[in-house]
Amino acid sequence: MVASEKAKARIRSGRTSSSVPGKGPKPSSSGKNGPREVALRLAQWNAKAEPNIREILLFPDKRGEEIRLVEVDPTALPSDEGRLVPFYFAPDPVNEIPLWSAIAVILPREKGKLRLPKGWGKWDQAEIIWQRKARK
Amino acid sequence: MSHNWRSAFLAQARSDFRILEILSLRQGVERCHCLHYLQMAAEKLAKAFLTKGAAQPQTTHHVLVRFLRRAETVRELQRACRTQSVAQFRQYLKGLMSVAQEVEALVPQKNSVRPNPEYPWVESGVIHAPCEYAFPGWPGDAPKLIKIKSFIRVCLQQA
Repeated sequence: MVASEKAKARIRSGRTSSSVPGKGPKPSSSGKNGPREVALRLAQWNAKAEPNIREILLFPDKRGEEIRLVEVDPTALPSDEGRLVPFYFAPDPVNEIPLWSAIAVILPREKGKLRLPKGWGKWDQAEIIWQRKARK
Repeated sequence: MSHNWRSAFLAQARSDFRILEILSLRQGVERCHCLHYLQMAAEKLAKAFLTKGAAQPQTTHHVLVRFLRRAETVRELQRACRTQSVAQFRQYLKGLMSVAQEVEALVPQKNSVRPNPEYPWVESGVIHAPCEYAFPGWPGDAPKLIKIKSFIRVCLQQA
């Protein structure tokens, strides 16, 4: 875990990249740190942490600088004024999340209906990257 | 500015929450600081809602779970949370209970034997500093963090 130790040392010493979304170092577009792979890792992590999540959608970011996840959870708070409002999180290199992430938690009935943030495209462009298996 | 206890606790909770939001967006900030401000914002918000104004809130740190139990009777909060019924609001609050317990568990203990985001502690003879601890189960992007932050935000807007 040399890379991880290096990242930890960088954080402890305060030598990190910019805190402005999209201005940090651009990760590679393929391999385990490609946007889709990072998104999948993040989705699996979140689904494990919150057993109420039914499915997780990934919205594409053409610039490949941000992970955009929408998590469908029947115990979520109803969204405000019909808009999808994500929470933003800084990259977390220690946990191998090298990209900014924008995560929203919505109710099942809101899926496909909420107005998306600018630049997110349309609902039909989203990909279901994680889905909880139905209980038998 | 003139305050009663309730409005003073609300003002401080708003300020703590604002700092939490700022820290959450800064790369390289150790997780302990975000968790510390989350715990402080939640505690002060809970104390504000649990006092009528003139009475000084109790000095205990463990008030968030109690507040969630009381919250289901606060109609203004139900409206602010935009749930469709009291039953749904109750269900929503129930869903927050486990994360509220985890937030309360972040409060440092007197004998410092368990991880907390504020003071060093000793575990099996090894002394740990919060800024170097990863707080497993508290990844910064976990949905439970989003849920409790959403609730705190709504409460602060409503109050």
